[in-house]
Amino acid sequence: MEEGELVKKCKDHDASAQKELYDKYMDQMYRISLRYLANEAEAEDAVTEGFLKIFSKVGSFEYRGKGSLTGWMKRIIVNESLMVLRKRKHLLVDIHETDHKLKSIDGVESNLQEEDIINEIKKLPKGYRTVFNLYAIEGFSHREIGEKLGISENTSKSQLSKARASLAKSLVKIGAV
Amino acid sequence: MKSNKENKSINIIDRVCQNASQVADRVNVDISKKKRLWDNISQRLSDLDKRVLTWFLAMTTSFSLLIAGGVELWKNTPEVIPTQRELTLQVKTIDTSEPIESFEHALTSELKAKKQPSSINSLIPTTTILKGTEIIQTKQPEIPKESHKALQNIKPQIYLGTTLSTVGLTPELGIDVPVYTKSTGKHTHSIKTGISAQFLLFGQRKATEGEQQVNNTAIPSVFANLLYEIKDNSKNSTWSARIGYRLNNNNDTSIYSNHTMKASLHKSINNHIKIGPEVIFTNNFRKVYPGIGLVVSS
Repeated sequence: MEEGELVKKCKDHDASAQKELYDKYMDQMYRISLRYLANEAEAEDAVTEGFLKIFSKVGSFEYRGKGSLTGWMKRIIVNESLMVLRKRKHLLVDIHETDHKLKSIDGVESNLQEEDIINEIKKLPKGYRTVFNLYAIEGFSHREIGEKLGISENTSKSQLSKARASLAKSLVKIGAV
Repeated sequence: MKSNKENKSINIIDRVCQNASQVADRVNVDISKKKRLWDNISQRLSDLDKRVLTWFLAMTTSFSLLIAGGVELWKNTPEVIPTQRELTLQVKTIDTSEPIESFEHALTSELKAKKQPSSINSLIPTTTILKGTEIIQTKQPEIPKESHKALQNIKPQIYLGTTLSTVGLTPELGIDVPVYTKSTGKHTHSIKTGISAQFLLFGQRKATEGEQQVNNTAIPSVFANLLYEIKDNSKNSTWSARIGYRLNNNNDTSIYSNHTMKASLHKSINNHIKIGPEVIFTNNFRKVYPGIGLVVSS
């Protein structure tokens, strides 16, 4: 089904269209969330809440051609992931997930180089990782990041700088750069 | 100012990570996990539908109650609300050029004619004076007697209720104690406090030797309640508004979790049965669940 048609049917609360939308984009949305949260259970929560929000707010979404739907969904998932991060803020001990192996549906491991790079991003401290993901991967400005995270632009810049410095060392170490 | 080498290094790091993310985002998620998440999402979506249905039911009940209340009001004789001008002393001035006996006669006949059934008129003090200073008659207002009963009639009321919400029926057992009662003849206003326990019932599935067993469990939530009741003495009908705050925060359930409050409005059907909408504000007042409450009291 075409994206536009899919959106239209989701607006009509068509259950099969909702399932199709989920099947089509769930993998991508889950991976995005996992980049922020570095914890599978939390990423699952964020994706669940994110898709519920997508289905409830699709009525107000205006389809403007290819890419607009993915961009809109990504923003919702990123916001939900940040929400989960905010809830976790008060926890004294950060939850560490050991098994971050990215496996494809048939069990064949994905490109090791990419997997290692993503794992290095996930190893960054929470603040560095969040700002790096928002700025370098998603393309938000420091002002937008400041608004989203409730921090100043300068804090965002310094967190990014530290994230890059840390990544530069680790990426050299694994031979990615 | 950043050197070119530094900028180049930054660009490489960002680009490498962007490319890695694009590749990683395309990797499929384990199919069982994907299915499990979809089951969860579709369950939540159907819960949402149920909530919409419950809202509809709650609103229908509220609307019916409002209509019922409205019909009662229409049946009542409309009370004449006196204006400010009417409430000021009604002063009657008599020309002193006429003989005093004729005034008295005229006044007596006029007072007889003015004997109106309205209770409002009896409230207005009427003073008749002669030109000058002589007062012939002053009629004092008849103020209806009000009775205030504070902590006099402490008769606890035990009730059994149930709320229909998105999680089904949740029975409630409680007790109310009147702390203040005021009767104005037509209406009786009461304030009551009380405590109640609301039970969330659900079946826990357990697999035992290949067979599935369902164990019914009841999780209690204890509420401290404050109730305001207004009773129409002539019709013996009662409207009551109740708010309750959940005291035990240890037994969290889907509908009663963290800080929870509930508010309800009940209309009596007879002396012992009340019905009305109920709204539950739960999860630190972030989630709202509507419901319909039915109360049977002693």
